[in-house]
Amino acid sequence: MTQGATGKLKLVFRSNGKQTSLAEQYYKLPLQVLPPHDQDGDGTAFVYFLNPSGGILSGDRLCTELLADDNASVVATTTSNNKIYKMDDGYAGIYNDFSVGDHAALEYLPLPTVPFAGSNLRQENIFRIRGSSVLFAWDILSPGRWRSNEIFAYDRFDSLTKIYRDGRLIVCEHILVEPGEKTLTRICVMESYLTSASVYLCARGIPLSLKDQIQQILRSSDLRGGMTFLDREAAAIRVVANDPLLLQEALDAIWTAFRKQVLGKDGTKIRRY
Amino acid sequence: MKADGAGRGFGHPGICSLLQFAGGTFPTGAFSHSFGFETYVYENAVCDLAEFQAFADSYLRSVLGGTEAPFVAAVCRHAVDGNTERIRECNELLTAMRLTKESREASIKTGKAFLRVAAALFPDAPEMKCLLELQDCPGVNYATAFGVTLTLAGLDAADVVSAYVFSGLSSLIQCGVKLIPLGNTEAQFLLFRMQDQVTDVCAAALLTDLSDVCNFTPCLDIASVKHEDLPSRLYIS
Repeated sequence: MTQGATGKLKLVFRSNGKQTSLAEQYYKLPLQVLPPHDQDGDGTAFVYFLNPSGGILSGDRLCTELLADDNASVVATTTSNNKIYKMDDGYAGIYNDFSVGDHAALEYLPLPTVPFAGSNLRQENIFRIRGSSVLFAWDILSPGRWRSNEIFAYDRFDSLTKIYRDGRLIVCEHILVEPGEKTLTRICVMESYLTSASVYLCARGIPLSLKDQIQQILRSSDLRGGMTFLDREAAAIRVVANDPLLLQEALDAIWTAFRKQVLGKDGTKIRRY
Repeated sequence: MKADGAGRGFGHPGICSLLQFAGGTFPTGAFSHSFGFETYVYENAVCDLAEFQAFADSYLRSVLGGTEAPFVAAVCRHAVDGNTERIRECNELLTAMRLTKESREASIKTGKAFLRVAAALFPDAPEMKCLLELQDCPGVNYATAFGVTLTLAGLDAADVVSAYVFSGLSSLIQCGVKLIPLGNTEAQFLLFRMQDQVTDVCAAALLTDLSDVCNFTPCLDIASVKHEDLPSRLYIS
C-alpha cells in the first residue's frame, strides 16, 4: 500500500457587515490557500486553493473544510487543474466539506480534475447550506490528458456530490466510472462526448429568466445541455462537450449570468497568471 | 409485517400479487412517462429497432438496474425489518439522486398513484402509514412504494426487484411502440430477448450497497431537461 501525504485545509470566513475576511485558517501541506482579496470591490473574499506538489499521488488524502459564516460572501477557486497521477496500487482521496451560513454566499469554481491514465480517485464534495444561503458550484469531469489522446484511460473515478439544505439531502450525484468496462460511451451516458459538467445553484428566488439566458448561452456555444429546477430554490445545469476549453468558456458565461440575475452584481474574470 | 392473504397463488407463492402490482393495468400512470426517451426520438437520435435496443439496454443497466433496483432491494429489506426510519432515508436519497425536474416529478407522481390503491389494501401496516406521512411532502418515489407494498404482499426482495425492473423495461418498450414506432411483435421479441439482461442487473442490484449506486447518465439527464421545452410531446416526461 502506497504511503501518501495527508493535506488539510480548514478555513472560516466571517463578515463584519461590510467585508468578508478569513477569520480562522489552518493548513497542512500539500494543501494551501492564498490570502483572500476583494476582487469584486464589495467585500467578497476571493480565495485560491493550491497544491504546490503539482498533483495528487496514490495514498494522498486531501481534506478541506470551509465555513462561510452567516452573511459572509466567498468565491473559492483553484490555481490549476487537479492532476491525478498514475497509480500502481491504492487510490487518492479528496474530501471537501463546505458549510454556508444564513444569508451567506459561496461560489465554488474549481478547475477540472484531470485523472491521468491508470489513476484511481475517490472524491467527495459535501455542501451544507441554509434556506437563506446562496450556492453556486460546479464540477467538471475531464477525460484525462485529452491533447495527448489519453481519453478515459483512468482505472477508476468515483466522485460524490451531496447538497444538504437545512439538514435535508436535496442533491446527490454519484459518478462512478471504470472506463475499462466501456460503459462511458453508451447512449444515455457520455455517448460521443469527452467532457461533462454539473452546476448546482441554490438560492431563494432564482428567476425563471436565468434558465432562458443559460439555454441561450449553451445554444450559442453549440454545447449540449440545459438547466432544470429541482425545486423552487435549487436548480441544476448539465452540459456535455467535446472541447473542454469551449465548455470552460460556457461555464464562465453561466457564472456571469448567475451573478447578474441572482447576486445582482457583475461577472468577473478569474486570473490565474 | 405481512398482510392477510400474503403468498397467495398456485405455484410460485405470491404470483398473483406479483402480476397484479407489476402488471400494466395497475393504475400508476407510468404509461404517460418516457423518462427522457421522447427527446431522443424528437431529435432523431433513436429511429429504429437497433438504436432503440441500444437505448433500452443502456436504460436498463444505468437507470432501472443501476440506480433504482438497489433502492427497491433496500426498501424491501427495511420493510421486512419494519424499519420505517431507514425506508424514509432510502426515499430521501433516491429523490436527491434524481437530477432533473421531470424525473423527480415522474417518480413522485407514479409513486403517489401507486399508493392511492396500495395504501387502501394495507391500511394498518406501519410501513404504509410511514409512506402516507411522506406522500405530500417530500413525496414517495414509485420505487419506494413498490418495494414496501410488494413486501407487505409477502414477496421476497429478489421477486420484487425482478418485477420492478421488468415492468419498467416493459413500460419503456411500450414507449418505443408508440414513438418510433415499433410493431407489437417486434416489441415483445425485444422484451423476451432482454430477459437475461434483466436477470443480470437484478442479481447485481441485490448485492449493491446504496453507497455504491451511481446515477451518472448526463446525456439522459440532458434529454430529460430538454423534454421540458419540447414544442410538442406525447409524454409528461
